[in-house]
Amino acid sequence: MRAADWVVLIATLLFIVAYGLWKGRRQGGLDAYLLADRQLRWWTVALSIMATQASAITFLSTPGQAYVDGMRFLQFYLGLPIAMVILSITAVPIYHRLKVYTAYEYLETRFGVGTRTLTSMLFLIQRGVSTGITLYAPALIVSVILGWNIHVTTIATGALVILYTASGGTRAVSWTHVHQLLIALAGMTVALVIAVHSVPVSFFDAVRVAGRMGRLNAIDFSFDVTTPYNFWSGIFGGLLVALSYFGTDQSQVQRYLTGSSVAESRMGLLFNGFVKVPMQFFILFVGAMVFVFYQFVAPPLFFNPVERARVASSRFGHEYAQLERQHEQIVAAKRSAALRLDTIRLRALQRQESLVRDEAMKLMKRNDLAADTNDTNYVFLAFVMRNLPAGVVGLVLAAIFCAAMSATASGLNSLASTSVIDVYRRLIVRDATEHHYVGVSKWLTVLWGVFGIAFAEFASRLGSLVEAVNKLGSLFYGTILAIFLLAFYSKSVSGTAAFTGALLGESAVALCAAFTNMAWLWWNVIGCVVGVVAALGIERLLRPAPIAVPTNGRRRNQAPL
Amino acid sequence: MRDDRKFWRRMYAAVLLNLAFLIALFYAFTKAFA
Repeated sequence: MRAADWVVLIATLLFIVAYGLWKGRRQGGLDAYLLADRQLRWWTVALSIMATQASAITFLSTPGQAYVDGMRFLQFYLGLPIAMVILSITAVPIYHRLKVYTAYEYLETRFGVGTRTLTSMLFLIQRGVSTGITLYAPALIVSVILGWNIHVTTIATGALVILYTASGGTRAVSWTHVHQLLIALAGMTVALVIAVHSVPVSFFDAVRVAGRMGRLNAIDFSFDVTTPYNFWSGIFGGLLVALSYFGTDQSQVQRYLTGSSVAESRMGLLFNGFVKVPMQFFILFVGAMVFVFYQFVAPPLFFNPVERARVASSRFGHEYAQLERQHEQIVAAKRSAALRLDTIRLRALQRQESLVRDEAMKLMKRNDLAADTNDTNYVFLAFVMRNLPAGVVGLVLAAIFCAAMSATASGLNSLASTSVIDVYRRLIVRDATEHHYVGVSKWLTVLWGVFGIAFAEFASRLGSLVEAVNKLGSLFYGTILAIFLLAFYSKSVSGTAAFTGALLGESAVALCAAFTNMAWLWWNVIGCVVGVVAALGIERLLRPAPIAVPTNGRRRNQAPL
Repeated sequence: MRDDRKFWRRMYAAVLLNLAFLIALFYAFTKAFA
């Protein structure tokens, strides 16, 4: 890192923290602290929703995913716009009418305190762990590529977020989101422009090379439940994930509860429905262009320099050096084929390169069974550090840290809200003053921040981090969604049936995850369908048989004369 | 902001049409460069 990069990075992060502290300087009661007085306009709501979902993992891991696997991950987001419409029609008016602080508060009015507590507990587990991964992801990647101390990076990022989130509450979180998202997108745009300008062929030829090399596979209509990303899993599984995430996950619900009216909240969600798919396309496209860039410029044999150094200095160092020489020859041949736009030859060389990479990974595993042989998360940052000019590296790093902070802030904010409203105020201290609950919310924000930092210390070796977060969410989203679907649409299901159905749904997901090779997007479908069907079935069993009432000669539904 | 049903029906239709358009566009993109 050069001086210009440090200046850009530190100035951006200090600006964000100072802005957050300033925006959240005036706090009244719980409404102000947890929901920004329910006064935000739709565009703040929209950008806050988007910034919450777009963590550092999105900006680091997604381009790497496109580099390794192409753009098919885009299909994961196809159900999202449909979910935005459904939630705008159903959930938003209900939450606004009931003036709830959390999504789970609504469940008590429908099913009782047991279901509310179960759902909020599932949320606290899942979001607490996810927030840890959200903090861990950029710290890990930055520490590996730049050699920074991972513990210091995690603690510093976490501490900055805790500072403005605990002091300023939701108002600080939502307003900083606006700037964080814009900075993150600016960083990615600059990286894309430089990647495209650095290849010695036209933009159209660069896109053609990416397509012929299988990196622009955005839409695939073939149906297969064992492949994670195709049109069908995206539309059905992605719809359920999005319904559950935006409709029942407090980190998102809290964002649109801050809207000053139903219309402002709706518009925030619908704007997300308009721009999310193109935004993901853009981020994946950056990865595809980095892939094209590395057809002309030699990439490392393996993108994780720590694992590379470890195997190179081991007893397998000689074999690894041989593989590196083979890789250099292949890369030189690829460059000349790419300059001729000979994509048939390029594809053949790509297969050879993959075989050499596989051999290198096997060596790493032979040297150390615990070696991390997935380098997807390091591809983009390695490209940035090696190839972008001074100042721009700082901007991209600032973008990544802004994204990490935005998702973490929403996580902490929602964890504190749920802990205070659904657990502390509901089950522990019921009649304290608003001032007391605001104070507890602040301390719980700090506590959850410390938990996130502590969990980040254990979150290593999870494969592609973007997948890890979504997989973890998919363990719970289907079941939580089942409870909310029953609450929204079924008038007859009781609390006991919903609670038992949810437990059965969660058990079905656990069985699928442990004993089948079903792709994780389908876990959402299983959890939701089993939860709903089991609850409806149990309700039928529990419902007492109708008692025969004498009709005195009238038909049953006939009104008395 | 407008709050009548007709406005919102149009907004929902616009989001869904936008999705259909994007799927068609990205499918064409996939096929054109494959």
